[in-house]
Amino acid sequence: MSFASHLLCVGLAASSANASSSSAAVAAARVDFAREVRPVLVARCFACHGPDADARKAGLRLDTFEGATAELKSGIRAIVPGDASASALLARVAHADSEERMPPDGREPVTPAEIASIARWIESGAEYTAPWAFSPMTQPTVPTVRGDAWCRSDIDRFVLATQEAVSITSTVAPPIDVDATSLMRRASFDLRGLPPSEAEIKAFAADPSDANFAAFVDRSLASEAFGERWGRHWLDLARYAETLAHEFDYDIPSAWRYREYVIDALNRDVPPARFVAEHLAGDLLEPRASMGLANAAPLATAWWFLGPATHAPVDVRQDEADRIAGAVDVVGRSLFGLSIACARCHDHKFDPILARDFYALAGVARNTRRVEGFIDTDARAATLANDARAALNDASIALGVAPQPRALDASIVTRIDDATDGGRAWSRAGHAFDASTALLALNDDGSLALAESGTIDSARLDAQLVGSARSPAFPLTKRFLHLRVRGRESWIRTIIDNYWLDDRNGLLFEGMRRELPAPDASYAASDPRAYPWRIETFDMQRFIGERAYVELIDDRGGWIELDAIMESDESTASAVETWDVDGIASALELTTPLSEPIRLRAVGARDALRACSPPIRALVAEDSGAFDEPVHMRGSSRNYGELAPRAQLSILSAASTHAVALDGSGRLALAQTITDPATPYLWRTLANRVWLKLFGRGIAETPDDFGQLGAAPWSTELLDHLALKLARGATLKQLIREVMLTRAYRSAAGSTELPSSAWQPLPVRRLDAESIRDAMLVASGTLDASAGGPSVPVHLSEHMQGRGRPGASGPVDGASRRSVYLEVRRNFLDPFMQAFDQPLPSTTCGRRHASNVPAQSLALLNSELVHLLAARWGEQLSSGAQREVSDDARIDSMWYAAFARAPRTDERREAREFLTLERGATTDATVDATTNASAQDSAAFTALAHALFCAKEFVFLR
Amino acid sequence: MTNEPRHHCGQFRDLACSRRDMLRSVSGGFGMLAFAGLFGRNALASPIDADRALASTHFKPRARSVIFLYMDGGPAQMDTFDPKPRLVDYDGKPFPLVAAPTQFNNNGNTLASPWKFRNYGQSGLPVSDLFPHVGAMADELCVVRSMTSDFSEHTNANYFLHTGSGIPGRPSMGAWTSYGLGSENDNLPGFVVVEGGLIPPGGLDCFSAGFVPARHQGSIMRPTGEAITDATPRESLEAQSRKRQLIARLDSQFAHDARAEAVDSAIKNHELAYRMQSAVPELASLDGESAETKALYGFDAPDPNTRTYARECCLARRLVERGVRFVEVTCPRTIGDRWDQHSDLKAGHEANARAVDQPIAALLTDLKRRGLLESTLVVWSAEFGRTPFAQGTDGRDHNPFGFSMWMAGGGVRGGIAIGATDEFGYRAVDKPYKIHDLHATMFHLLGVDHRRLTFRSGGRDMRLTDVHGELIVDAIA
Repeated sequence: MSFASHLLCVGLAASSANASSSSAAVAAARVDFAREVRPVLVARCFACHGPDADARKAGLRLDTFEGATAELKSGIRAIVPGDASASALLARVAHADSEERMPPDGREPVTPAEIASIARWIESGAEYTAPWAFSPMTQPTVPTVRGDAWCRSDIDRFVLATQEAVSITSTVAPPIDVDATSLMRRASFDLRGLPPSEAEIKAFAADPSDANFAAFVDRSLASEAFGERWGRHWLDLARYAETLAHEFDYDIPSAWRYREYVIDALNRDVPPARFVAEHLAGDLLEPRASMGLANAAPLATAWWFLGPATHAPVDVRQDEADRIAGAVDVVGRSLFGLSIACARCHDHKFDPILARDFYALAGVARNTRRVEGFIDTDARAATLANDARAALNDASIALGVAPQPRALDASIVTRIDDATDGGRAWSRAGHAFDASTALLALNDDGSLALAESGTIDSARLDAQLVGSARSPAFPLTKRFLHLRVRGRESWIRTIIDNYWLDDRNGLLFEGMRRELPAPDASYAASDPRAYPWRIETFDMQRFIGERAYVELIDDRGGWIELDAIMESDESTASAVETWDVDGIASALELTTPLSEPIRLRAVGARDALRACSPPIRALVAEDSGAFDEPVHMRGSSRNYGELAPRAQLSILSAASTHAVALDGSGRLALAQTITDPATPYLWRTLANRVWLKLFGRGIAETPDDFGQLGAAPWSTELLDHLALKLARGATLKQLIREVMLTRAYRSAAGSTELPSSAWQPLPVRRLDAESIRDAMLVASGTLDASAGGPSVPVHLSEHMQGRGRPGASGPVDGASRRSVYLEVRRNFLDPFMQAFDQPLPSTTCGRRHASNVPAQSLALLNSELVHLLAARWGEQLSSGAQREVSDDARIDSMWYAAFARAPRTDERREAREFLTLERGATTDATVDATTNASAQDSAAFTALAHALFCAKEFVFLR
Repeated sequence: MTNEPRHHCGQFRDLACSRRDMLRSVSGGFGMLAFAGLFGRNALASPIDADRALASTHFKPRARSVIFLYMDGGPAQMDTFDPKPRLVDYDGKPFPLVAAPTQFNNNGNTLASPWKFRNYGQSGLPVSDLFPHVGAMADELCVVRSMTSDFSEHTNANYFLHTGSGIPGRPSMGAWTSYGLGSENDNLPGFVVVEGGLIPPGGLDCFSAGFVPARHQGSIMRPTGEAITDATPRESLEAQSRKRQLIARLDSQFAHDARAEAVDSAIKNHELAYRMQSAVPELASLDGESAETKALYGFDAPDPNTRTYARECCLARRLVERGVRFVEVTCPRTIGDRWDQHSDLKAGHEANARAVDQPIAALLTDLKRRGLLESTLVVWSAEFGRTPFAQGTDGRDHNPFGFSMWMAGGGVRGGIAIGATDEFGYRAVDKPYKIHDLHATMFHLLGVDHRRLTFRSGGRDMRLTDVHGELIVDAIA
């Protein structure tokens, strides 16, 4: 069919006629491509005519100027700039015949208004502007505003400018300020997640000066509560949970240390670039001591592994691919504000994100392994271990003997790693293992012993040391894997495709994790050198072709030494059985005179190391290889396409200022690129997140999706203004402070008739789940404000059933700790937190719902928790000296605690009347008057406390 | 295990302004329509019927509600609805086909079914002796013998069955149904899980709202004890009423000062909560059921698990009677630990069947005589089936390659069997269907085009059926 033939008879004629009838009209009504045209193209056209080449129909792409204006095979052009009537696009979308009309298959037609916009856009030249999120940040000019008197800072000018821009004809009045006590309550919850104290409210009400407000903000930013509040915001992005969901909801070991890390880092105001880099590659950065640890940075890398996981997958590689996809989704949403995970099966339909980009990140994740690491609590430990090893090495050199390579019948057995280099390519945690080729070991009593050369050994320095070591990843090519090892009370693991959950449930992976038993009693534990070598053989039949690595773990008082990793087709291979020690140790006698000072150096360092406080165990990331991952065709983990160079994302290369060296997994390179001051994604998402949390609405309303299906910012200028501050080194606290001291933050909550392209004053906001519970604890006077430590076990109601249910329930009141310290078990989420929209820990959640459902009212009316806290508050107000205080004074204190203000006269009267009624209802004729009065007081104040918890003002912020 | 892609991004919807966007703008733009919780009706009773995504169904619905009888653990198809006489020839001998990896990798010899099959009703549909009561309803059943799943592990397979995706965090089919069609009862949720003692492996994520508004998540109801969390007052009605008056006065002043729709809605929602405190006990009480009905379900059956499941099924009927869209019924905790018989198949399957057989048949009978069966789609399925060869000597391992499920009522053809497995009951060979096809068919019967019920999450328009879903056309009457 001919496109041209339709041009004369389509409905668009009217609109294009209008548009072209007066070029002045076109100019006056200039179309904003980003706002008016691109969204229509995205929603209606890109699925078949967008970035995804595989899905493209008729060879037409409409997401680029070149594509849209190119001559197609049929000889026509979809868009002819400046000539709407010659543009086939318009003819097709406006076609009267539904068979011919685009989009096809009975989908709803493009509306006349949309067609008119497209027509005008084409008439005015069809200029494509790059999607805002993928464009570099630009320093905006601070606008001049008519209401400059209202402004306190440039942020206010950007804000006001958006309002003035949409109200050209009428002067829009800048919003009025909120009253002092509401501002105090708002700021206190925003910064600390806790209500202000009565003293704070009264002090600020007495002098609501800017200086006083700034001082309050500074105090709050410096408080421990700040990290507990803003740390929880970050945990939402990290899909933080402490269990793995699936069948048995196994624990994620020491997950709480990640929560601890986040709170600590935010309280210390670790620069955002460093904070994010630590998440990606904290194990590879310069150490940063904190939290009583020699290096807190690796704790952040647990972030890679906080997703759910299943045990005993039948298809282990698919399982790995699924877990990686979960992690990539979190990387994409939280650090880029983009749905990169969309590109798992194909190039992104709407955004310029390629499948290759997804696999560039997947490759990073696949070369990263999950380790239960050891982190020093004593900063001297690493140096001492190095000193001791250096001394042993010096002594070894003095022996003057070099290790010999060993023979192996290569026709039977393939050597994967014989550790002749002392396992230099292995990664280690703790200080038990080293990469030394020393021929000497230190005995427990401090004497020297001859050691096997070129093994990887956890007893060379001190059998008491703990640690673990992992081989580089290698492909399994034969059925049997043999490890030549010796030792006792330690573990050997073979890890296939980074599958580690066999440590909780073996099934298909039974035997992949083995404890090395002590040999018979004739071997003294103190003389590791006398132990016999043994061959541990693993049947890898089901895993040939998969990638594996070997892990040695010495964490329970034993030791382990590995000599070689080999594979063969036969379960018993003679070459393996007869593989002998290199003979050096047996041939040599320790007669060479060694310098006593060297030995003493080694012993001194070792003994000092023994005296150090022990390391902690924590989940950390580690590089395991340096492979590029191929694109998985249509998302299949068995059907590969081109290699996707890891960490090299097409959406980054244009933006980053310099190429970064690629090493190992590529995590470090990725961290450098993402945190580069010229890369826009991180800075924009962070700036937007800060604004969202303080104003209830982001500058871009979809904080985790800056792509074309997300909402465009109401002010890209303001967003870049803030983002550039972060890119240039402002810390989170500095940015938060600056935003909070604006006039905009002070404005009264309310709504306006302004369109969504303008800044709106703050809405009346419902407190989030944590703040509601924490506020009840504060009001009842029972908050345990202590910070940190393992989480408080979740309270289990009888409705919380299923496999993996913990043996014991946690306390109803969560031990009165702040909500951020309550355990998050994926299969047993706290119903109260759920009701008030704590997000499911499935992926990044940058904007919480603020729902309104009866479950919330029912929880406040009837839950055990709320009744308990009301009773505690009532008890406090009716015991001891409180009983001498007048009802009015007690009522006043309750109002301050619940609503951050004094009661009005009528409220005080109503509360008094309520207390009277309640006292009357609790009269017990069987007890004496004093007992009665006490019980009545307690019951009456408990009832009043409960009513205040249920009052809307308690859960809403103005 | 198939090698096909399983994690696609969803269908791309053609509406620039989704209904959700419209609702969002109507309600003030601040997450008013994002809801956590138990009950299906948004207290913000917007004039545009805010609690359903679809203004109307896409075509004439055949069913109004779904009752999903979830057979936790995976009953063996060749022991229930898919007779395989050929297995008898090979019983105790090596399994003649190539076996794919199984979860326990402890594959034994071929294992014939310990149960006989009988032909029932006018249709003559064969049903094994495990299900004499259900067999008697054979003319209502539409058995699909060629179901497949993508997963051999319970949890992946459960998430897949419930949400169309093998990972946790996606909306359950009940949540999708509630999201699409809402509840017909202001005081009750759109999606209820009647929980008999076994939350499926994978936990509450099987009933999750995922990314659709949280009010669509499955509300857990128990057939005994407190039916729903926090629905029972902890104080006298008088005491609650005194508080209620004080709260109302405080709230009215606050609402006046705040002038925010969010506050007004929260107040309405608080009032609704009071009403629910009485609606729930009325619903949950089975005392008013006639003696004949109680006997029909098996309230007085000798096996306590039968009694539990009888109450569950009766409750399910009461729920659909009251307009709840989607009811999932989970299994009671039997001696054999659900249908997952890795060993001792005979005793385990018999215990499980005894628990559910009579109540299921009673549910079908009861729905039918009340005229509810034609508007209620009853679905009986597990996450996968079991192997025709033994695990060890007397168990069966997981088998996602071919298994049986059935539907009844709500617009399906009764008395037929669709598709087939091979002669050993191992793999679906004729008309193989996927879980997405079940979902598509279920939606179709509810009047919903599965391709057109979407929710935008993380930049994608997500669907229960992902990019898949073919109708099981033979099943549709």
